Amino acid sequence: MNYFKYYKSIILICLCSLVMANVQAQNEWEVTTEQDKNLSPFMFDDEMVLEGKISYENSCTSCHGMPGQADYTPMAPPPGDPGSNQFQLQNDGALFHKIKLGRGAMPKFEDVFADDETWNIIAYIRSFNENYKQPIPDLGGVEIPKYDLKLAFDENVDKLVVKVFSKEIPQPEVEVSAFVKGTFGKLLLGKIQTNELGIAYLDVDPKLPGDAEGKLHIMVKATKGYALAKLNQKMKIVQPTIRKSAIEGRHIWSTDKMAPIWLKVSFFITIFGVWAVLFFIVFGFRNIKKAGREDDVMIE
Amino acid sequence: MKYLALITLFFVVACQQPKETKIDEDKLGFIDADLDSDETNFKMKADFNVNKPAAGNTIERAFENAPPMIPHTTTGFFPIKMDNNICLSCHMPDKVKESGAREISKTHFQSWRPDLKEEGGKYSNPDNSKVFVKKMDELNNAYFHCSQCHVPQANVTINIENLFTREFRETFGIKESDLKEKVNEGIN
Amino acid sequence: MKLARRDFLKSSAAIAAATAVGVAIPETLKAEAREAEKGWKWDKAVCRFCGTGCGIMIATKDDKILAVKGDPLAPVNRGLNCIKGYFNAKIMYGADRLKKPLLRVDENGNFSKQGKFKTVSWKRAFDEMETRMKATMKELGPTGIGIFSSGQYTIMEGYAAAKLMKAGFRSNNIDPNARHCMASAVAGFIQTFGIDEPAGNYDDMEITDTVVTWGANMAEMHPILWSRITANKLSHPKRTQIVNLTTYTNRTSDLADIEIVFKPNTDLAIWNYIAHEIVYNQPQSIDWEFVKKYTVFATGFVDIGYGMRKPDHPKFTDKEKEIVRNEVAKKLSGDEGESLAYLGYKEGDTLEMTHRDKAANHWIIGYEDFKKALKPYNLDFVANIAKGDSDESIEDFKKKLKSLADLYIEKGRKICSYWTMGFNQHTRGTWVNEQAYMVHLLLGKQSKPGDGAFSLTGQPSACGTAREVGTFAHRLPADLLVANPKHRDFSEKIWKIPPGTLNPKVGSHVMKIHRDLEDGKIKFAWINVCNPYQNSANANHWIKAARTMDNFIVCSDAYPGISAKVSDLILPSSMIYEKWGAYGNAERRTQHWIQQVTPVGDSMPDIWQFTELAKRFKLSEVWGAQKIPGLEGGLPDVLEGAKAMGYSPDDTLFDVLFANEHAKKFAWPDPIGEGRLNTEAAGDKRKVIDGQGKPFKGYGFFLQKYFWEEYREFGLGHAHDLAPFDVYHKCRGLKWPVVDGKETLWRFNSEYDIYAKKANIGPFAFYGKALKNMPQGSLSKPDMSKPKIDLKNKAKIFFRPYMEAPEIPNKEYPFWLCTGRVLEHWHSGTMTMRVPELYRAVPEALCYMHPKDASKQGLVEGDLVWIESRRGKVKAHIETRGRNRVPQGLVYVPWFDEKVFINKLCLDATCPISKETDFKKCAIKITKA
Repeated sequence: MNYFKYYKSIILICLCSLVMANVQAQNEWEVTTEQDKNLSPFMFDDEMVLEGKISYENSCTSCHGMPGQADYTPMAPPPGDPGSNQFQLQNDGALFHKIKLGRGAMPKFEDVFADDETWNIIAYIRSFNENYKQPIPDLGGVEIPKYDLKLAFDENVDKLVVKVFSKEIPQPEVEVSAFVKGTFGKLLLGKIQTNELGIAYLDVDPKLPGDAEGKLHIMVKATKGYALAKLNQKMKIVQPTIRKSAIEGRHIWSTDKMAPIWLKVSFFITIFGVWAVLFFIVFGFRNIKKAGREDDVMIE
Repeated sequence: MKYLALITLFFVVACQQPKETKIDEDKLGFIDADLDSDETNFKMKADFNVNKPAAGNTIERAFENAPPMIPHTTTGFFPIKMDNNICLSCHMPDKVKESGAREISKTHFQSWRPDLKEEGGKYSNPDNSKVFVKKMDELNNAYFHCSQCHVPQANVTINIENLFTREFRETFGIKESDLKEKVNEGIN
Repeated sequence: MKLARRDFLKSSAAIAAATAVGVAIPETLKAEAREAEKGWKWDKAVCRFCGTGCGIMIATKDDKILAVKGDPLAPVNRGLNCIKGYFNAKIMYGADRLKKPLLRVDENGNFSKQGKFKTVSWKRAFDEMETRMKATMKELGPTGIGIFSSGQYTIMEGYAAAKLMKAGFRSNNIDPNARHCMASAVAGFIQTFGIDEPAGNYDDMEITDTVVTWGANMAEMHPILWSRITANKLSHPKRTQIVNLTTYTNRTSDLADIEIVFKPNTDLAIWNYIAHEIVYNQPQSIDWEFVKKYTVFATGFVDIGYGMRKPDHPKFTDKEKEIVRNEVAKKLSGDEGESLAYLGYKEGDTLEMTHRDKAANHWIIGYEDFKKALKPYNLDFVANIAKGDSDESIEDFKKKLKSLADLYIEKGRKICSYWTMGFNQHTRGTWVNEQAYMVHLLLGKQSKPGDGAFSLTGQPSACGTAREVGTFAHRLPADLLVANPKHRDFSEKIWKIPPGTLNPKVGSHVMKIHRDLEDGKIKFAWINVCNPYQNSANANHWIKAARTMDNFIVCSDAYPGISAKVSDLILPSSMIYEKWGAYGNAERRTQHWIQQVTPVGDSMPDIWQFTELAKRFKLSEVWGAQKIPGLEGGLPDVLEGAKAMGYSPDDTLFDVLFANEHAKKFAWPDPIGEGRLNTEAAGDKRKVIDGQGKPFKGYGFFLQKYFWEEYREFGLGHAHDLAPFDVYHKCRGLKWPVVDGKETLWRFNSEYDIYAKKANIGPFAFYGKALKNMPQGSLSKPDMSKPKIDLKNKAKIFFRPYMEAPEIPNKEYPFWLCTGRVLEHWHSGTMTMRVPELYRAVPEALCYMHPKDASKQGLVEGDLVWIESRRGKVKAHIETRGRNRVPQGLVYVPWFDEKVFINKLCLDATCPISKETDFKKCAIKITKA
């Protein structure tokens, strides 16, 4: 039998089935029904998208490329474009768990991203889908508490005081994290749970540089379960940063008002004097010239 | 000449600085603790003299017959315990020859305290019109606790001045106390 | 012998030459040389510092102090001083001594709270004070002004201040720093005996067989008394026993036979253990004859709070509220569940503080009830809650407690208990003072030579001035009370002021003056001879109130301390030996001294400051009708009464109170002060420009003697008798009551005390009159249906339970903070930190910490740490091998150092009865700086 001329097709068939198998396998990455039903406790907002973008660009672009541009790295199986239907048709919970648990070449990210950070990424991915409507979780009648945050500064002990209330009732055991926002990033002040009075205290170093009024831009986030609240506030905590003019006090004849009056007067007198002498000399020359011409006239 | 006078007058007037100086509250005294901040400018913890006791090492008295300060380290010597007073092992009169230490003042070997009068269980005050002196063979136990009058001195830069006038009447022998002889001075 | 100049030179030269060669010089020659170098004048005086009240001799020459020596005739110390006593010579000469009045002004020279200090004249200073005081009194009445008075005032100054404030301004807001020091002891005395001040005297220390120090580091804080006790112990090493009960090992422990380190606040339990031992196990030791004849049993409420403000007060930070909520309701701990079980409480119950306003109420109970209440305090229970040193075994601790009880109980063993701030600065300070008397009275060991409970005084004249003169918010001189109409009548007659002048409503005590300043209820405060902004707990609040609110704070001080820096007007004041004065020490000994030198700079004595201020107030401005919050009808207009007494409404307070006819009878010069300085009476060489803008030449009469003789009238015949002025200048002080020229050694004892003998009921009589008509009741409450009992000549044996402090260490703040003093420095260090020898001895306040606690946090000795409580934080260096060896879980920080401002951290909880702050217990954490 002349099987030789079929070997190309056999290889072709094998390769195709491999590819099909891979594609099948990829399509077969299923999560459990339980996990699939998981929904984000947070409503996707612009801030989550922004945070998600940063996380995505740090950790996901290397394989998945930019969403919507299909510029993912060619691998086997291919990572896929998160903006494509292949991703967008999946449920939030499926995406969440796949990021968390990983499979094969995709690492598991559950130790890298906290839950809320993972939801940030999903929010970012969903932002490329105009038709996406975020399903709201059914809480079985349990109301998500809406947190009110109040910030104060206890200057006796240099602590930021964060009070978490919900409908006037203090909320204990709420995870509070506070940051000081600077020009180039955030400084973490601490992560702590509120005590039984619903208050969390975080140490603030009073030597931090503030703005001209001594204010720091404080950002506080309070979360517990499905509830989340954030607050940005400028608070007077530190000494005002006084920006001095770079040339202040350096030159005695600068715009510095510190120059004593006698100096100003003598300085101007000297300048005038020098110019007066110069003019005198110049006019003197002219006079000489004039005198010379006169002489000429005279001689003639 | 007139112009020179005018010019000098001009300079004198122009250079007048305002006379009244206002004082900031933190500069009122020598202890410059800033009330508003919790930061106080601390240097290192003051360290005390680490010199071992050595003969000839003395600190001059602050005034006539003042108790002398301790010129050597007190680590290991303080605290003075009831059954263990290390100071005495060098400074007692019978030990001074060996140790070379300064002898405890003779005032510590006598008592100016008369006993209470007691008659049939009833106590009354003894006569107090003149100084009572009782010589004792051993150390007067009221002077047992040396550290209540004699203390070591730390190496610190003092920025606190004291304008006390130091004057000694005897220019000789002031290294020894003559309190024993002088104690009656001024007693009326 | 008299030497001519030539002879002197010869002998001097000979001596100098001889010395140079090393030749021994005959004594006579030395003596001649000394005689010739005259000019040194020695005079007797009193030490400026602690309540021991040592006598010193001061040498002056050319108006300067040149030396100090111990006074060999002074019965207290017999020629021996402690290091601070010797350096009395130098305390007046610090280079930054305040010399001129300083006022905060803006650019235009007007007063401005944000301004910097500028030198002003005395006239300008008094002008500003007058304006502010009058504005405040117009807005708020007499309760709008306050004086921080002092236990370091001389007796005459305290008397002048009290008279000016109470009779002149009709305000009771005058309270001393002794409130932070002895108030609990005073309350203990008044509740137990009906009259203030100890029964015994210092001679007990030579007579007694046992000395028990409770929370008192006598070796450092009353060194001369400790030397007397040491002499007793070392002369009778087997018989005399010393026990030191303390929360940390200190120098007193080093000379003690038994040291008991207990957990803070458990002193309440230990006393009850001793009482339990007596009542249950050795009832034969109770002196029933004494107890039945001279005492009754009593108890009071327990739900009295902790003297803090209510938690809803707007000025509390949230962190503080964690503790302050205990003020209205506290969850009982396991230990408290047992100790309060007799009232029906158990662990976990919430104790509602319903009797915060009735803290001092007490009533008589029977012996059976008393015994029942003591039931839980057996050795096991008390040892378990009281053991303070975790390194010590419980068995050892139990043995020590049993030995302590046995020492008290032993028949024929004389025993004295001494205490100072450990008991007094305590949220149940009055209770623990009463418990000391409880045991001594049960055993009949009180008011006898060598036997007795002796409350040691901290300040040099907390007894003599603050307590006896009554510069308190509720007192008048000689234990009289503003709230008692008979007492007010009596005082008004002596002061020759119209009836109805004195204000019957109790004023603000020291903590309340601070709190009122923060609430805007007081807008003018005058600080005299104290440092309230450094010595009051929770200092951040008070400093903020003084600096940011609308008020005017005046500070009369010699050196610029923290209070001066916080104030708006600083008045330079003369120090102790720059004026005539008198102090009264802890054993009731009143001692006088004469002015030795002229004051420094433009500083003037406090008496002069009062009198010059008094010149600016006319009767019509202060004696009209006044509104007093809380007093219905306010104060009546007494100008008619004044006219009837011969005063005119245009007379000033100076004319009426200070320079009246009676005063001018005391002429100056007076034989007792022949040739001596007296700034108030005759002016001095500086001719300071006074409050009227003229050089001050003296008032022309002997003001200090007038004050003394008028003050005497309060106590004569009322068991507070003092001797005439001149007598004190001829002796080394006398212990009052001084009757017929004889002092009283042991009070309440008919053999020694004339008043007890007069009562004529037996060998003892507790003749104090206050609180001697009391209701009866059960352990939990009084029964008003039963008749009140008259307790004439009797004392009370109180039952008081164990309760915890309001703030105890927890996970976040794991250490106890205890504060106090060290030997070398006095109080806030304004005087002693300016003496180089004392400064070099202890240059900074260290945080004494256990080495294991330090290593657990990675700290080594000398590290700089943040000490932080809920109320503030400071930095300090730690010390792990210092004089104070603390147990694990406790740190000790002294408060003399402005740079380690530890009172920012302390909690302003007070004993609800005495209003004294508890400086010894709060919770802190330590982190590396």
